[in-house]
Amino acid sequence: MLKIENLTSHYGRIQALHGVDVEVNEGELVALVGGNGAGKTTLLRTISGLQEASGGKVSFEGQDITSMVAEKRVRLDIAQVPEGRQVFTALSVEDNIRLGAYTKSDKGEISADLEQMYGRFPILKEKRNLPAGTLSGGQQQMLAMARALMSRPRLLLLDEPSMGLSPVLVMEIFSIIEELKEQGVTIFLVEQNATAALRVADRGYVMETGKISLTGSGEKLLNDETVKAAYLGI
Amino acid sequence: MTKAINIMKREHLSLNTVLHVLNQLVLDLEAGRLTADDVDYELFEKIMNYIEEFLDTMHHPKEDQYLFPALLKKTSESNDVIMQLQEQHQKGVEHRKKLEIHFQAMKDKHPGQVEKVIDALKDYLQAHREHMKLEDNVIIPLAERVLTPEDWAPIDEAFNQNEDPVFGDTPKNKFRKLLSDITFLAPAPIGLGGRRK
Repeated sequence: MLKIENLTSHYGRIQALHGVDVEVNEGELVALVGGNGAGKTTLLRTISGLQEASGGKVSFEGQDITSMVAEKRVRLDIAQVPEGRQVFTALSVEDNIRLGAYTKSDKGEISADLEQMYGRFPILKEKRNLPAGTLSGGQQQMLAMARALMSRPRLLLLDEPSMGLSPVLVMEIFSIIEELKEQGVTIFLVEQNATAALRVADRGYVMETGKISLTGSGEKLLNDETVKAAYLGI
Repeated sequence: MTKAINIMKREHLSLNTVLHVLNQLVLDLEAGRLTADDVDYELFEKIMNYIEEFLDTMHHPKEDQYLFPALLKKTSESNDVIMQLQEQHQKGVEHRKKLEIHFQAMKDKHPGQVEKVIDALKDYLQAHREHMKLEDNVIIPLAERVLTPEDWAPIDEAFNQNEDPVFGDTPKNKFRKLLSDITFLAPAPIGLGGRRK
């Protein structure tokens, strides 16, 4: 479904991605783990079109999208939940969710999807009229996920969804991710919580200084001595 | 890592997250941030329900019936520890029931119950921590060392039933829902702070 070949990206003269190759098949949950500054977020932003590629190729369902603007990628059913939630703090919770459906025009469909989001994330229904900036970190993470799901993505890019959350919230986030996978959403998950990510992932990639250093099934990486030492704290 | 160990570790992790919510309750009661009137008894009931149905009914019996006998058959190295763990499994049920009685008394505004709840909760949390530490640091490494793939087969199968959505009352989905309810009710930032006054 998603194929990344020899991808490079720069911030000015600094090269952040050094020839990255990644593949995500339809229906898969693929995790990308690695330390701070490894280039995980840059890779995700390059896939969603927020960061420019300086070389290589990003293909989605066979179509070259390397130079496509971010908005058009959303129309192809690619949605991103950004690191740090990035909700619109002054807007109400409901307006934030509705914004996720900006590529849709069928009002009936949007209303039905909104109700579905309230069913999945009941806390958002309770807070629907409050400014998003008043929500706690966990509530904002639910909001960011609901907003992304409103576009009915077939490929969901998740950037550090568990960052800074309590253990019970981390558990809830991963439970939602598993549910989405069971419902057929293809997921590319970037996480520093390598243990949790690799436990739910079909496959994983380990990234170091802008390069993929290791790849394999989630289970294989969980048992890999190098991964254990570097990322799992074992 | 065998299937059973993987599941056991995941189940310990789930339990730890729920205990973390209980621990916050202790801290809030102790610091006076919560009074007996403010306690969310529905949240407490959900947590106790989770512990009873998940830990006391599914997790511990699998250890007692499959993992421990396999280890006892293979080595005498862990006899004392296993006896200790089995005793803790039994006492855990008694402690939970005692805790529920104290909570009910606090809800009914019996004098001095807040302190009793705090003490009982602290004991309960500490007992779980020590119990899991023994299993994670002694039993699981020993089992990985001495049990053969043939020994693991029935243990794997038993623990897999905890996760298999086609087994019995779909425990995986049931516990997922319970955990989700606990997360919803637990006050922010620990949980989502749903339906707060």
